[in-house]
Amino acid sequence: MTTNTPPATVAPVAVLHRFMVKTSLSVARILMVAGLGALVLAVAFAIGSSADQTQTRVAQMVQGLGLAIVVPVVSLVFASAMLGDHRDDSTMVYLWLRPMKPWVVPTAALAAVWTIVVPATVVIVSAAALAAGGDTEALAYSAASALFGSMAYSAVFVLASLLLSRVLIWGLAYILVWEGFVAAGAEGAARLALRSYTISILGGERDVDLDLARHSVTTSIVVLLVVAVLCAVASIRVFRRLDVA
Amino acid sequence: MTSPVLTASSVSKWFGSVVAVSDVSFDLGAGVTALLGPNGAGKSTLLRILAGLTAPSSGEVKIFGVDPRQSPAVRRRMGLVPQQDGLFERLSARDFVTVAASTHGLVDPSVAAARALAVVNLDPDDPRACRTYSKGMRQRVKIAQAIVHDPDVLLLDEPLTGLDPVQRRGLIDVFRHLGESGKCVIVSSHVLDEVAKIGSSVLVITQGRLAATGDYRRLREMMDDRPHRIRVDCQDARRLAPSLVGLASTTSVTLEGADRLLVDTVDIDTFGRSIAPLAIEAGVHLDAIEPLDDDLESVFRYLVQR
Amino acid sequence: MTEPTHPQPVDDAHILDRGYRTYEGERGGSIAAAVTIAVAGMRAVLGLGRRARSKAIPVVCVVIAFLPAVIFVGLAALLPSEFLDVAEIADYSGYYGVIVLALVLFTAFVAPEALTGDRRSGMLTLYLTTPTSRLGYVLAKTAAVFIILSIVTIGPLLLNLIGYSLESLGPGGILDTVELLGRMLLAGLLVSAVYTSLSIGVSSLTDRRAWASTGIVVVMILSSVVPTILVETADMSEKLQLLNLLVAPLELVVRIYGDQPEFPELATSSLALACSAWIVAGMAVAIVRYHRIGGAR
Repeated sequence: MTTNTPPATVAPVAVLHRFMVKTSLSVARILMVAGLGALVLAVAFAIGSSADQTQTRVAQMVQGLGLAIVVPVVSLVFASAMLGDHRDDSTMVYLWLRPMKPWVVPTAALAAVWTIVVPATVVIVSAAALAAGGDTEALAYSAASALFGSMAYSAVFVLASLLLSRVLIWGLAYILVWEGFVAAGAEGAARLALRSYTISILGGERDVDLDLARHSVTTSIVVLLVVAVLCAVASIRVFRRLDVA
Repeated sequence: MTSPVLTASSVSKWFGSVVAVSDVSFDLGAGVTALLGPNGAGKSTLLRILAGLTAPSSGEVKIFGVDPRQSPAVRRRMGLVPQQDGLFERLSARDFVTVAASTHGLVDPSVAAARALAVVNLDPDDPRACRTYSKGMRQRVKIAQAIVHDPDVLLLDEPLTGLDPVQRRGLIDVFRHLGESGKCVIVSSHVLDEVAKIGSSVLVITQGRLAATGDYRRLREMMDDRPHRIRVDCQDARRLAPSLVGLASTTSVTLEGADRLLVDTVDIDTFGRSIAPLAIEAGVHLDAIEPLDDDLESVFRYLVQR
Repeated sequence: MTEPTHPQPVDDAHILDRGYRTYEGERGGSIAAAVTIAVAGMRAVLGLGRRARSKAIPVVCVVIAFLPAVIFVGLAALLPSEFLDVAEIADYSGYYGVIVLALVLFTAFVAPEALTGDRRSGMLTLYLTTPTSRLGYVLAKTAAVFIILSIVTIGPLLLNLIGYSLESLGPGGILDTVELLGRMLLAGLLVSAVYTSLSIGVSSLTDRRAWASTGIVVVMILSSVVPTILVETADMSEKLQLLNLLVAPLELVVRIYGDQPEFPELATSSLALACSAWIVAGMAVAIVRYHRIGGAR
């Protein structure tokens, strides 16, 4: 067909990134994100137009809708699709068998998730904070919590998609059961819930009353970044040893 | 002998208590080799191990002297048509093969993809997504992505599935041509008469174990405990029959009408040397001699049913 | 001397398999077909006939649902009566609040298999080539989910009632027992109906169980969080909680038992209307969807 060329890495990352973004942006997923965003904004506008709107109420809305639902669910939907869909429909072979360094595919996948999820969640959460009447601080902390939260959630779910089949269901169980039920009621479990760190960033150094806001902003950002990096590294290791169907 | 392209040494693979591949060893060089075996024999698992998709539980596989699971460089020289039907459903065939070409680092991936699609007789400009394709078209897309980078080793798991007879014939020619041009091509298939058209070298695997390897015609000769059946067309079968019965290697002679005999012999070489002198001695004119059971199917049946 | 008898040919020739043969037995009719589909649906929901891990979530749901009942009955049996507050421990209407996780897990992760599995595997095509109607199919699958979910919503409370009655902590007399039993059945069936219709409605929109689960979880969370935030943060009407899938049915259960309401602003008739609306909406989505889709994927 054509002549062989020497190994390349940067170009395949870009190629895979483009391919993964394109294939994961299905109509259903776009509608889901748009619908979720519209609903959150509608609620935010309702809060913004209420009589005694306070920064605590704004933060509680961002916590309840943005950080408890939008950030984890949008991250899960796209992160589980990037590699998990290929595992589930047996097309992983077409990625794994290419002559690329082991870090290329997981890195491209994570980059593709971040390309979609980080802007989407940051825009939705920030817009909601603004619409609800949040001040500049509220806007900044909301955006930061969505930014670092979506990075960490995405990395966790990309790793999970390499370790588990049907990661969408396991991810939902984590969001619903662990973060929604267990971490909400147990101090120790909350430390193992990403939500407690995103909420801590949202709380910032401000005088707002939020459940689970137990860490400093710096600690929370560091923890979320460390989680993201560790999961990215683990994804590369797992991908290299993957048993491909 | 030149150094083998692909070497499997004592390869075994088990899943819990189920042994899928057991202590398989062979060397393969250039040319087409058919990987044969009944359903569940371990063919697909063996192909996955050869491609590096899964690690053997014990033993090792080397392609060009390197473990394919560890070396991206070897994967650059390898193409695989997997058994699974899955494709990147939302992409067109051109985009699908272009992604393969790009990730192989080809200089002009789109042109290479168009060329590969043309080889399998698909329209590179067809804008439809792969999910709309028929089984045969999907199969050809899989083959196109496997050959787009001109691999030296091509592993094909049931590549003819879902294709119509014309497409099969075309692809058989492609595979045979690749083998003749010095590529190492391994084809797993159930369609024995078509495998026989691709080449004569076989790997037969039954219950995870390697039952036979080599040219199937040579394997047939080695099947000493099974008589060869030969059809002899002549002018006077009844007069020739006693002479053939007199041969020590003959196990039976059957008259099939006035001018046809079926002879079972355990030594085909002796039969071949003796038939002409015996016919001359009997005064019988020979019209045709044709072996009936040295085809691939016969060899395969013998190996897997024993 | 008798005539020599010729050996009679032994008639040992049998054709064992002629391939396809038409069924000549009794035909059960559409009701029997619906029962068959419902039973198959129940087996799918419970993961019967499949790998052990398919049974994991159903088993977890049943354990979560029954465990508190077992513990309550155990406490009633082991602790002296002076340490027990009968009103506190025999809180039938509050039981669903304890096992809400089991209800959510079952609705989101277990029930969708009843519909999605058939579409994924192509069984729906086969079902629709039989005289079974599309409506009959949807109703049979709904019945399958409803029956299994009712075991989760009624079983633990029945266990409680039996346990308490044996420990003399149950209702006073036969009439009271029958009345409590009626409330128990009505409340259990109501909760089952609301969550069954939610699950069937969302599951009908996709052939992938994971997407169905995602949809159900998102609907449940949003229906719970959005009204709560709007009521608590935007000072909007408490009536918005009628949209809350974790409030409306469970509050109506409280009313059925005649206990102190947690949301006194919500009228019982409004709650009944809200629950009915959820049930009708879920079933309508499923029926319309199955009216339109083809048999194949």
